[in-house]
Amino acid sequence: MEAANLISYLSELVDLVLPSLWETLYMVFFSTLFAIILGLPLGIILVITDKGHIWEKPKLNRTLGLIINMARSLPFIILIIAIFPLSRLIIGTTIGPTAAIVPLSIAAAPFVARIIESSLKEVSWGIIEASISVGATIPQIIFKVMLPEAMPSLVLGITLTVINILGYSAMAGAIGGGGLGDLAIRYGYQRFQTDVLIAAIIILIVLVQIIQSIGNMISRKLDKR
Amino acid sequence: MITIRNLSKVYESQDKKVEALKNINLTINKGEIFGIIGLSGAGKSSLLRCINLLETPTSGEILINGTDITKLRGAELRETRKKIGMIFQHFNLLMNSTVYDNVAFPLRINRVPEAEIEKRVLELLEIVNLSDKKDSYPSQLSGGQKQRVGIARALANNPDIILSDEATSALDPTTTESILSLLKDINKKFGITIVVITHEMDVIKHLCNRVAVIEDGVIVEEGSVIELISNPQASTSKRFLADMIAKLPNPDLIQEHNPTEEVLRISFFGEDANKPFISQMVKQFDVEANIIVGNIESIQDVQVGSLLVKISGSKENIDSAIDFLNNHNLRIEVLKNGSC
Repeated sequence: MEAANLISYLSELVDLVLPSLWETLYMVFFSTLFAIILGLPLGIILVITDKGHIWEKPKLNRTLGLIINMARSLPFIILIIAIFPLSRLIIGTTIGPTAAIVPLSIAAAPFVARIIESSLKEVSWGIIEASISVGATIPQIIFKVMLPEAMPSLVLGITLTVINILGYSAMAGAIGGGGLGDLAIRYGYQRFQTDVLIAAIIILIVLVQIIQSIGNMISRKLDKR
Repeated sequence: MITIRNLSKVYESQDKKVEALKNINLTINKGEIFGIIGLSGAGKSSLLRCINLLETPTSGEILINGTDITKLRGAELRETRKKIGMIFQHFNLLMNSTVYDNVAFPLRINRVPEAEIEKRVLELLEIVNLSDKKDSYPSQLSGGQKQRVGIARALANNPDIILSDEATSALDPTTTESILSLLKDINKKFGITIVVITHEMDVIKHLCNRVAVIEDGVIVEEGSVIELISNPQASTSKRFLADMIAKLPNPDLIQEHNPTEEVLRISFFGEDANKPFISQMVKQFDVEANIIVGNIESIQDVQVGSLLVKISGSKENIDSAIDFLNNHNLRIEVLKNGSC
């Protein structure tokens, strides 16, 4: 291949891949954000309503645990379809990356809840007791003790969530969600353009590496233990 | 100051009931350092944690300055807790916060203005001698330094009471000593009542004015530290004092059925320690005395000691010698073969 041809080939590929990359980043960013907004309170409630914790509510704890487990056992592809009416209600359509944010956030929220639960459980009970002994309220214990103490572990958990959502977003692409997954399926699978498929895969690999490295770095910075 | 009445605590699990505290009655006076000593599992930790309601008693009352705190809930309870500082065996510091932020924590909880917090924290760090560590994280500190941060945090809200939950048990002897003298200073300087629980007799000896001995959830002995040391009654007390009591180095030193020889353990305290009672006895009763082992210790400026003495002479003389010692306010035990 001549140089000029190579350049024009690459620029075509970039033109093809770049919009999909942006769509993916857009989906992943907002889905993570909403998944945290939904999952964080759930994770906190799971911890503090547990037996012997600062807001013991055994029934609420069990019920919430059950619902989260149910939501997590649903295959993602089924969930997207099941949530189509909700997506249509909120976004006005079921097609495109914005519509995909709805099922992605809802699918990731129970995962986030469990991740946050396990991070918060790492906070030593002694530290919580020390804060009870100085007269801290339940919100103060959550926001001034448990979350800051668990922060390095929370950051790693959120990193894991981002990477998971990235994986899910590729699946969402299969049913019209857009993004790199959509690109890989349309070009790579349906049109046998292996080069596009490979480009999408490479970008996904690089993305995962970057996200994990950033997550590790932030977590290390925050960890003073 | 603190009056505990008929306090009981029962832990219930699926099918087991454990009575951790059984009908505890205790009065702790304002400004004193009160020790609670017991073996692990005796209930001392449960008792201490009832005083700030980290544990909820099953029944009974805890009066602090006349208020029964077991009846308090919510905001009232939190306000009461602010006046009761607590220090812990494992320090329980915020590991991701600096020394400064750890000490500031109770004040921030209390919504004290930042400018005031700064003044108070620097003052507290001065008291515990950690001014140079204010920007360090707990992981960069030694055990003793961590406990000093714990003490500064406990002092932040100007408490009336400090509860010490085995505060020196994780520290080496030298560090223990420095923490104990810091607590003593704080008690003297600020008149704060301190309640310590410990399984170390040394802590009681060096720090406390009065002590209660707890055994299986029951207070088996209570009184001044000197009383306890000079005349322990309960078996737990005796166990804790075992290393202060002179022991026979070799059991063969006691011969069986020898009426002309007796081995005595003589315990004494206070002024008696300075009297030449052995030589008086020898002169007066024509017996010979051979000191086998002896130790004497100064505990809070009072001499406490015990001696093992073998006396020999005629049966009558030995008996009168023992009477003589008994009349001198000394505690005499005649050791039998195999008893020690």
